[in-house]
Amino acid sequence: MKNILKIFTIVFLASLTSCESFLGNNENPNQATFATPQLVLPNALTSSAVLLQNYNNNAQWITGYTVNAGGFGGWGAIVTYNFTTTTYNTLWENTFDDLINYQYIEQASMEDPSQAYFLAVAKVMKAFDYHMLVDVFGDVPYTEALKGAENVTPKYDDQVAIYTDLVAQLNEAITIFTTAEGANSLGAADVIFGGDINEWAKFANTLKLRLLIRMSSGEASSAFAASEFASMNTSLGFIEDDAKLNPGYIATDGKQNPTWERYHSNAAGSQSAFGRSAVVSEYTFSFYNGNKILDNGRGSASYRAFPADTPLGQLGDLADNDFALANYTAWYVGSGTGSEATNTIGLLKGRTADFPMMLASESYLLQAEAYMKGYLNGDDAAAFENGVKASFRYLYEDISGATSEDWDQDVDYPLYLDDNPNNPLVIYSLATTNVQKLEAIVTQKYIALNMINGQEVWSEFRRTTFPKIANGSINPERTFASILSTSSRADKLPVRYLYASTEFQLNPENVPTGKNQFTDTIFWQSN
Amino acid sequence: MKKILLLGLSLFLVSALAFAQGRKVTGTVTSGEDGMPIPGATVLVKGTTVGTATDLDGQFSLTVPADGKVLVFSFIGTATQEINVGQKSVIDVTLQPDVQSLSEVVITGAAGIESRRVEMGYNATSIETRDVAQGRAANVAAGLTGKVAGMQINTTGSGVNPNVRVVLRGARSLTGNNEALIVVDNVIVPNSILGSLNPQDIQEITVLNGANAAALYGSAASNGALIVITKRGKAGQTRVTIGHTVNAEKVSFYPEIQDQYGSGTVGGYPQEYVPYENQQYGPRFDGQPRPVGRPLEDGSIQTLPYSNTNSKNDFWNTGITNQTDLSISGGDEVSTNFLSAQFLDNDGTTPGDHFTRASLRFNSTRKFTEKFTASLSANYVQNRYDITTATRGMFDHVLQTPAQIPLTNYKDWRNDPFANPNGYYNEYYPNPYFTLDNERENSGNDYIVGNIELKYKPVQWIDVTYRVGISNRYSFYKRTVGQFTYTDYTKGISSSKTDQAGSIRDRNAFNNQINSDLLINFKKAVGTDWFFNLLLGNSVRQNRSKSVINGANGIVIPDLYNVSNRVGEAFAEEDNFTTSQVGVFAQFKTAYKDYLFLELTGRNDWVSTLSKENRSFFYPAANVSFLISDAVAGLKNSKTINQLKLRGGVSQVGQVNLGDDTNFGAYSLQSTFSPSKGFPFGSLSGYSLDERLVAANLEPEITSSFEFGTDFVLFDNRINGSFTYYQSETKNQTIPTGVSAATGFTEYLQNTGIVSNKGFETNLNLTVYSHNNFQVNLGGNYTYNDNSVVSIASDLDRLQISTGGNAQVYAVEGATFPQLIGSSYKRDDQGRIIVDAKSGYPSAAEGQIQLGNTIPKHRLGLNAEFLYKGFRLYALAEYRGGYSIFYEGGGSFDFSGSGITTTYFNRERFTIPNSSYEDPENPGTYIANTNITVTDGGSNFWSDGSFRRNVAENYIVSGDYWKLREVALSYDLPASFMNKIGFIQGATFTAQGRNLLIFTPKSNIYTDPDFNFDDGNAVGIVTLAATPPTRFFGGSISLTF
Repeated sequence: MKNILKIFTIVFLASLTSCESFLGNNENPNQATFATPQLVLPNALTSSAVLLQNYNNNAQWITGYTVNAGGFGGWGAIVTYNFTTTTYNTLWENTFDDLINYQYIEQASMEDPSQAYFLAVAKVMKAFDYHMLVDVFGDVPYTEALKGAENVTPKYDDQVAIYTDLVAQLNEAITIFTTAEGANSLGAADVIFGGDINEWAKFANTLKLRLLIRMSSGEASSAFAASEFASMNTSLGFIEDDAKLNPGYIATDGKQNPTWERYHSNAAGSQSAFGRSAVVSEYTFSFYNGNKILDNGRGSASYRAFPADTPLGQLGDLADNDFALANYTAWYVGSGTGSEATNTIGLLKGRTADFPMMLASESYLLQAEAYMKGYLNGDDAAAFENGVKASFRYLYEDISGATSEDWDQDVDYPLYLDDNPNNPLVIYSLATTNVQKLEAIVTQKYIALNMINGQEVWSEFRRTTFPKIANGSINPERTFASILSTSSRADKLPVRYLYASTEFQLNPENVPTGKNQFTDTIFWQSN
Repeated sequence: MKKILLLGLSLFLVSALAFAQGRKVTGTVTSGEDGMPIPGATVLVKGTTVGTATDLDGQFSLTVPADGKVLVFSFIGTATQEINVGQKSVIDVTLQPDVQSLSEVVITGAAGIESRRVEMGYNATSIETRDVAQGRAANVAAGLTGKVAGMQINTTGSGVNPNVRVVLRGARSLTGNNEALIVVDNVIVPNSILGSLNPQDIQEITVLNGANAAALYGSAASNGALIVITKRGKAGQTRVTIGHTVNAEKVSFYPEIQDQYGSGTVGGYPQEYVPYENQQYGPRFDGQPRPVGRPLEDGSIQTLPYSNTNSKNDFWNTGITNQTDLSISGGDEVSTNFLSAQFLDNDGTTPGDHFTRASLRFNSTRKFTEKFTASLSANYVQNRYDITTATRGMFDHVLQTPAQIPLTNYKDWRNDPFANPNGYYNEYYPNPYFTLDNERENSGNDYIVGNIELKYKPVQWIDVTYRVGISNRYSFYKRTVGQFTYTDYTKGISSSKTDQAGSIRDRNAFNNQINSDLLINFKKAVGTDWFFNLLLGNSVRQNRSKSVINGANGIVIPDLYNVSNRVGEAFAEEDNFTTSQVGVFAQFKTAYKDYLFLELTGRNDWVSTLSKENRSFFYPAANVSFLISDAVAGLKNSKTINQLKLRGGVSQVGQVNLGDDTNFGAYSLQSTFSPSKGFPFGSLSGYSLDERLVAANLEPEITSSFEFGTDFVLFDNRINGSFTYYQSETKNQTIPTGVSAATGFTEYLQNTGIVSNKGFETNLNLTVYSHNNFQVNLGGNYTYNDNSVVSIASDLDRLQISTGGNAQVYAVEGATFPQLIGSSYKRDDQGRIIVDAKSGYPSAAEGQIQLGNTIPKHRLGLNAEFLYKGFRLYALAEYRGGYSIFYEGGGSFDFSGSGITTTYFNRERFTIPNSSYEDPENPGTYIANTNITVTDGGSNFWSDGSFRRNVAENYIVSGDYWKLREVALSYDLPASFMNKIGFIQGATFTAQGRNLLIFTPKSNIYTDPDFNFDDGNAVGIVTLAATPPTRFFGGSISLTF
């Protein structure tokens, strides 16, 4: 008995003492538990491109860039605007999922002057993501958001207050970009400007311009916008080149340019369902085919088989819309199909093409409006012209950013003017009133951002009601509203999305209830 | 176990009986359990002391006095048989097992400790091999369904080797493991092994229903345990058994689909026929010939009568399972051997699906000295699958087939131009036969499970046991999608048909567990009244797993499925996990006068998956058993109350619920970063914060429970039963709660939440009749379980368990768990659906509502057994009730127009039943709707997303059912007949069927509610990923040499 107890005690103690080493440290051999701003930024920026594309994909059903192709059914809320709280869950989650990475960079670089540029980029990109979120949801969690476990039920902040703070954050970022000393270069982590801080400063300033112009239209925010315009750093300037992102897209699944992946084909060459189930709205097309504006240059750079055989339709028309072209999506103008598709110009330049985060064209057209309205001092006519030209340039560039003799904006832009001699939407000098000028500016923005930034165009339409539509018309060239619209509004359009159902489940005390997608406008929309 | 004991007890009876003069009767007494002769059975002339006992061959010879009319045959552990002698001179008797479990019966409990049933302070049920294997279920657990009170077994699908989920006493853990611990030959093994055990190898399964019984096993014992003991060889003659079983499997429940309307798209009214349309909103069938599909390149087009073909239901095959068994068993005084082999070959109901399983077992024991014995148990199982990965898609494609299409004509898609994807009539959905062939998985598992046990008994009152066990699983799969390139002609006319690039996924993995247990057991009797038993134990466990997966999307050369044959970069991923666990435990048992028993246990665990501060935790248990029938003098020797026991216990068990049986919960304590959105791009790497937050200081979940109950045997052993009430509370749940995405994360892993379970388990078995070799036994078990989520987290009253569609599984504070929550209609305060006063259409409510609990509250199993000589008929029926399920495919039926619901109003305008509309004069008040009909009662209503398909309440049905779960009829050829043949000792023929009939409420137009889309806790959703439910029937033959 004694011996056995002794043996047992020894075994017992031995197992206890060796226990700690036997149990080990539980260190993760599979995933990183630590990162740095340098490692997080490239991923965050690339995610922002995908996020922007998500916003665009949703918005361009509303703005008429895409409509349902013949032969496809099950469109649901896309054609009825009968949104539910589950319709935009992904958008909601993806935005915060991207934002948390910038929040991480901000936290990790805040105390470290050598990381100042990372801090500033994080602030700019937070503003970039957040304003899109506000533009479709209104009040959203902001001051209590992105705090992880510290606050799992963040309150919702007033949309004007959020916009106001985003401008303040952009101001801080601009200050860092222009004055920081001893900060490390962003280096390869900057997949937009390759570490060019001056471009970042201009990008921040242009984004601020976008926000302020929007705020100038809101009753509660116009005074703030005016004071910010008054103190704006105009010597810094705005972007003159397209802000384009490319982490190194290659022809591998999940690593292609996201627009190509969505509308053209996957890396293996299988045609995308989205590229086949969507065609061009007759409304948008009329800005190219001469019915409203004749634009042979950008028309043939943007649309396959332009002008005669581009597949057209009207949103919600389930009977008569054209089928997609066999083997081709409507927005690819190159040759070859599937994996044989060649690089080209236009909207779908190739599998590895840069992704446009903000076009120079938009920068100029924002300036044109600011000059025209006297918010800033400048030549609105010149800015307007530069805006249209920059749009030609973007579309005419091939995948390497070069233009050729075949696609020369210096030839085609004058032709464009000649083809539309009496059209104030093209010839700015023909627009006499401020309303006409605004219509020209925003309509050109609608054309320039066609299939590039539907999100921005939808916001601008809601702010300005341009490009003009005929409320309630069933003529497909006169409105981009769906003929199956359930909207109670005169324009038959929605004005916002509904909060994600996950918020009703997980943050029910805070999420605003009773929002309606036809009546609850965003602060900068007047009606 | 039982058998060995019985032999020992009965041999001494042989000489005690007197002989008398009269007529000579001879015969053989055999066991109904295995058909083997019973030595030492008593044969008595009724009302006299005249009798004899059977010899070693089970034979007897007795001279019956002239006035002797009835012979009474008895043997311990069997029901007594009375046989009228009449003019017979040869009487063969089959003694059937007693319905009751003997008080002397020994049950193998936790840690391999054998206890007598009378000592046990908790509910435990033993099931013999025959009861498990009689229905010839390929899966051991499936064979237990409905047989044990408190145990719910769900087969999660109807594939060739479906997962089986075993849960005892309800769901305790919201997101952690709720499945019973599986122990094979005293060694804990991963649950997945259950599907790979050969049911013929099993000697006995003991179900320890609650944590009280299983506490010694440590972590995971809170879920109860299934203790499987495999067969050992027996001393004596070598026996060889060969068996073969053939089972057919047929679809037993098709979703109800309409057979009146053919192809036509959603649109205006009246409907127009569209020859290439999958949607079935076309005109009513008229039998007229119509074109089908688009013309082929050569201009040919099919013309078929426009009428229902019922071909959709003919799509499924009759599955065939062939199973061959061989076992050899034998031994002498010092050693025993048992060798078995089984080969199972199964063609499923899905065309082309094939599964094989081969298993080998070798169990051996040897007594080296009086003090030292060793035993070995080794099992190798290999299974191989050749199945489609596209079950969900394929089932959907089948249901998207209009009723006029002769679907089964399109099998030969390689040669038949109308079946080929190029010429297939359906513009939008591929030929399901093509889908099946094109998306495949070849996979397999190789299991090696074994243990070595050494027992040393230095002195009478001490024994030392050391066990080392290993369970190793190597698994692999290759999943492929074939390349298919459409002709230019097809692409030219069909914009929705696009090339398939083909893809490959190749995975290799191993999962390994090593256990080491040391037990020292001290036993001491003090005086005549007291008995003490102290058990000290140490248990060490290590789990390791690794998987490597690579793949390519887009292959170059068709049909070459190697990752080198690809477009673009390859995809590769690896995962590695190691965890360790050390436990020490002690159990103290004392018995007073063999009628009062007390058992105290304590265990401390150290686990590697928790932080150093929290990795050690202790938990105790105590059980009492009181045998009233022995303690109270008046009850001793009572014929009415043979045995009456009261029992009760309390326990606490800690469980670390951080992971699953692949990752074991390793590395869960820290938030992580991963490359996302295509990273790395060449030399540029990038990391993104993962979605999960982790609370500091995670601790184990603690389940505290108590149970009390009674076991009784009444009326001369003719009735036995038990009743157990239990209650448990599990707190400190380790839950990844969903959090508002605005936090930047979507999950927050924290200790929170309390779930309580309570209920009772009862069973009653009776021998209704036993005379002249005819015996009727009836049995029943009823379980009631009610659970409640007491709390989740201070700021959270709902926790989402599953993700995806319009209704999902949740835990809801104050409600039964799990709970379906989903979208519903806007309703007025009287519960009427509010419709639009103009369109007549309803609309979806903004929030989501509770749609019902998904685990049955009531379960009843009823069985009947009829025994006559060598015949045995067994039938088992099961009822489950008090729960709901969500049928996810319902939305697809409505979209396509195949659903029966779409014809309820003949596709005419109708008024939504029980609806109202807002009073235009008094907003906020509602007027009953009797006359506002929906604008379109056809396609536009049924296929609409916003107010039909996305409204989850439309697809919620009651899960209640009655099922004829099992019927088996077997016949053992009589021993006397076998004796004539000589070399064959026994032969048994069986006809068996499973899931033969199911009765559901009329509202359940979809499926068998047992099926589930997930084998985790998210019970209650059935998707098209589960093929239609099936029934099995077949026959088997077994020969013993």
